[in-house]
Amino acid sequence: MKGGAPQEDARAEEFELLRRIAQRERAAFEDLYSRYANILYASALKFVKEDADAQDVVQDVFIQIWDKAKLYDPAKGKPLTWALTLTRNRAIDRIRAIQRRTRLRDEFEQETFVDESAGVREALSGVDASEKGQILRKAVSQLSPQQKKVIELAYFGGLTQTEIAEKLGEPLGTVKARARRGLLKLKELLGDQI
Amino acid sequence: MNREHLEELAALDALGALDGEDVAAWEAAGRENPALLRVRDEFADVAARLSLLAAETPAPAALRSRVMDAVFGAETKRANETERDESSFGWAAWAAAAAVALLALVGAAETTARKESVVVRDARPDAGAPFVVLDGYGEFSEAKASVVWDSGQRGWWMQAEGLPALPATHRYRVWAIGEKDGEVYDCGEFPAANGCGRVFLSPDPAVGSMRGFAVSVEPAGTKPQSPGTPMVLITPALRG
Repeated sequence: MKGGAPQEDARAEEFELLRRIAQRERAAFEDLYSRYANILYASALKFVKEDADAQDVVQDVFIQIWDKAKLYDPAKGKPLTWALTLTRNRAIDRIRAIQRRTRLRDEFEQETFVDESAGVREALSGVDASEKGQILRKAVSQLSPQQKKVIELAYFGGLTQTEIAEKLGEPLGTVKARARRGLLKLKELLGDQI
Repeated sequence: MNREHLEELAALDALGALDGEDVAAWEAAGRENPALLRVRDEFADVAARLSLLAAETPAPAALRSRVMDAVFGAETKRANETERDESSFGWAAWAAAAAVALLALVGAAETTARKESVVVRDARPDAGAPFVVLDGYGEFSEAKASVVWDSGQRGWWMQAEGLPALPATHRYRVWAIGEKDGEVYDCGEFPAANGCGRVFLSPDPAVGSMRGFAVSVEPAGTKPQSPGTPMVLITPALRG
């Protein structure tokens, strides 16, 4: 699916919706909700696993969209990827709060963080059978396992570079290099396809 | 620092994984060379697309009305309150849907005094909608914030106004202050635009007692474990 006209049209419509949301148009917000709710909910669920948490995340994200639409900068990315980034960040905040709570509750569960982040292991495997899911899976499959692991732990697990290096037992410089090379490769493979 | 290393920092920032000394190094590099920020944004765009690996799952039908209530319930209430009391200090009383407790920062002096003396004893859902005011200090003295418990959504709504604009390299960050000395919990960034902002804070249920909230200014993109700068807004009762 190369970046064809329908995709361009959809993006243009979404830019316009965000512009109208910035002007506090409720109809535009409801339209954007209809377009994004399922995908943002699915994305949130991939991070936080629980339906209630995912709903909380999505609600927060739409509130942010309403409040921040005027700050949206098209030069920084497409509307959908902007919304997905908001979702990821909100979900990671929630995961960290849960992890912190768990650690505080039981200091003996030192392995909790590792165990929970292990749930990230298959994050890049993907289950979306749609065309875009197939494109993404194909691109991800071309990363080295080491690049994939670093990106998984950072993006889906919310780990910092230092935490990743510690978890993998690799030098920090190696982690940095894998993150860069992995994203460069994905950028090259995905181009403007999705 | 060569180009490759700068791209590594850009990639890690896009993944939200920068920490330590690299945060400052990246900020300095971004200030010197804005083209690097575009590289970061391109990486962030790629990373965001990874979220599309999730199978599309229909959002629960009830979520729509919940979101609309949260957004427009607050808007409607805020508009009504503003119309009703334009003589207030510029504070718009607000609410976030039926589940969100109404904030009304204006009022008689005794009411304000009572609110300012509030010590948040319990962050649990049955906390009876405690209400906390934060005052700004120093060059942030024009800033005010308030925090209210939302029993419906089991979290805190914080609203602020009069916040000075920050350079792009820094963000406001909210902290919950626990009962014990030095007990500070990160509540995340506070998004401010045109001096105003509102954010929902998820409390940590493990924290049984809190004394209030505070706001500091932290480098963008960092997730500090504790405030790296003096608090610029804080619950008055906690000010040393």
